Amino acid sequence: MSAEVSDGDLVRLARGGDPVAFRLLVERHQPMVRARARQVGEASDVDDIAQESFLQAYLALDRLRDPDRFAGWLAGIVFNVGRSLRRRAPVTLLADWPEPLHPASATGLPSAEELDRADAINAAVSSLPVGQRRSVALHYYAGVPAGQVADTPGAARASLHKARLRLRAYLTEHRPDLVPTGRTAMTTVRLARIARRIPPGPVPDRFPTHVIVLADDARGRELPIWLLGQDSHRFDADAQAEPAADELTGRLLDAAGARVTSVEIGELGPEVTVARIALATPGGPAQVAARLADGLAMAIIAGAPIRVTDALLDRMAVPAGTSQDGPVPEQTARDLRLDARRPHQEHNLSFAEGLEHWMLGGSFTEHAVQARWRDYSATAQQGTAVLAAAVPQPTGFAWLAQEILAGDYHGAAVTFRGQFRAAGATGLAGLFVRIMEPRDVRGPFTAAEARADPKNHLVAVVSEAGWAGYEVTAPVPAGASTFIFGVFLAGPGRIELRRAELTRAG
Amino acid sequence: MTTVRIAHAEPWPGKLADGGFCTRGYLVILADDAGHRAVPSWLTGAGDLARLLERAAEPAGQRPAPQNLAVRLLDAARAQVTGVDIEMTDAGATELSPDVAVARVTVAGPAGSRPVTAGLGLGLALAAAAAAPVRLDDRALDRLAVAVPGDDLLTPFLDRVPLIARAQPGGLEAGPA
Repeated sequence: MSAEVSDGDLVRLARGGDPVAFRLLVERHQPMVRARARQVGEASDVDDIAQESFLQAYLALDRLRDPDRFAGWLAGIVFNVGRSLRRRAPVTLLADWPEPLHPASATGLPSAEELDRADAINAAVSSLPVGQRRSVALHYYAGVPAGQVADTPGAARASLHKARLRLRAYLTEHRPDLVPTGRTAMTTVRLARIARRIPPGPVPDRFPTHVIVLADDARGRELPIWLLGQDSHRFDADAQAEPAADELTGRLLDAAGARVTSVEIGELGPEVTVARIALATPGGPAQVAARLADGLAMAIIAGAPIRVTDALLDRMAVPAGTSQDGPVPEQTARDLRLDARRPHQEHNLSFAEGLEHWMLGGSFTEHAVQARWRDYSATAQQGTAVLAAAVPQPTGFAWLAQEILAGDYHGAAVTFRGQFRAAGATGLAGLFVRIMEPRDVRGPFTAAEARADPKNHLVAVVSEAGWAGYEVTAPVPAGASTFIFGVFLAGPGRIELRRAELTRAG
Repeated sequence: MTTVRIAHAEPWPGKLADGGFCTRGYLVILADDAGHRAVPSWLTGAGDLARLLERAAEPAGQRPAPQNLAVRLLDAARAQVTGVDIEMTDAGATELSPDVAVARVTVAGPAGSRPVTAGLGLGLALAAAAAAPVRLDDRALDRLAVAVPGDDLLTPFLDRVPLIARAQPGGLEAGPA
């Protein structure tokens, strides 16, 4: 879109109140402005000079006599700003407005709905006093950092805050349908119970596992949150030989004159949960984004209310009382035995005993939401094992593998080979050997991490190519405690294995 | 008081013959670099400390940002840990352990400066996360420290596996998975 419209037309549109036009000018001339800024200022001032220059340009846009000469005019502004900006105070960033005020402009033409919204918001912005209008335009339309839309960070903060209040008041009166909700709809939940038990699904590690059940009593539903691995120990009172770290954190906050006032559980993005810990501090309210387990722990220690976004509850909650249902697969129960010891040698490579001695695991079982634990499945029959995605878009990656002690292989290499066949594997599928050291308590969480991890030795299997022989070899250093070998799958599809062999080389 | 450096935090008692290890115990080495001596301590609650030291050894570009929750929350409250003093509760102890010492954590913020008592392992972990100095009383240091002539402060202590590790098999985890 921007390549087809001249500077002059964009200037005219911006003068007419088009919120997108000035942003496009900023995007178009950003490289030139930054290059000029480097010429007239210190390297550390480039950002400030560029942002201040666009600010000045926006304010003076009506005074530009020839809109088609916008670039030259802007370059002059950069020169002047460069001379004066160094005297400015340091700046800080402010939190963003929860929703963008301008319609999408990156791709395609705006829809009628977006244009309608833009018109209404333009009217609201036009109703602001000049200073606030300038702040809003620079920050939300031109992308100038919030702390830099006024002479000082404090003034910037005050200006934007007042502008938001006025905008909300205006839109509430004239177009309540456009008022940003500000805060995501949330429901206060009750910590119903914390239970230690074997979960109904595959688990890659052997640590006790806990489920924390948050109850939404008003709607008769509950959200089970599974804590695995080290997080599981955190809520296991028996495992603490001394006062827990979370309890200490609570006392440290108390010593600092602060306290946890609430914990909100939501999502940063698809499948990424976050706990926002709200604090009351001597300097005012504050918020810290933390891992889910951290947030829950702080809420429990402080006795603070827990709120969960409605979107998360709607998607993940189950009817009250049903969160503990589900079978306990025999294999999972076996894998979770605390007294289990790794064997010294491989077993059942022919799959004559089904999946006996094989483990199904992977990052998908690390997901806090139980439903995701069924994204992959494994079966074995007639001498062939199958690792397959159970849903169209499974989360993370899975492996079907055995883990044995490395002692007999120290100083040599281990080769895992067999016949493999992959189908519909649009992600990555293959065979692997992972060398484990005594400290390895958790593996990679993403397929990309797994590929980059030097402890992993991976060989990809070509999808749709039929049965073919593959092998992967890995050196086993003296410090290795165990190694894991098997097949992996990241994404849709399936991978099959037969005639597996494990040999020592060197 | 002498400021000591947290030199090592290794899973205790390290590797066992069958590949297993104790996940909840750590051998922590406090170094008195000027005195060419070190204080070993076998304690629990230092898992964070071990992870922090591991990360500190990684190249700067690959090192993740500090994730210690207490430090982040204190930072949000504009407070910080300014020091961790090891205080002996048994003046005659000849080995540093959670049974004979505690950590006095000093928190400074808008509300002033206040001490908080913590377990030894957690206190040291907090000191590492907050980059706060760890201090030990000189007389205690003289009693607890072992002369270490070389640069390797860990190896001299790896063979010293306290009997309690063998006497409590329930404290040993199954293995490194």
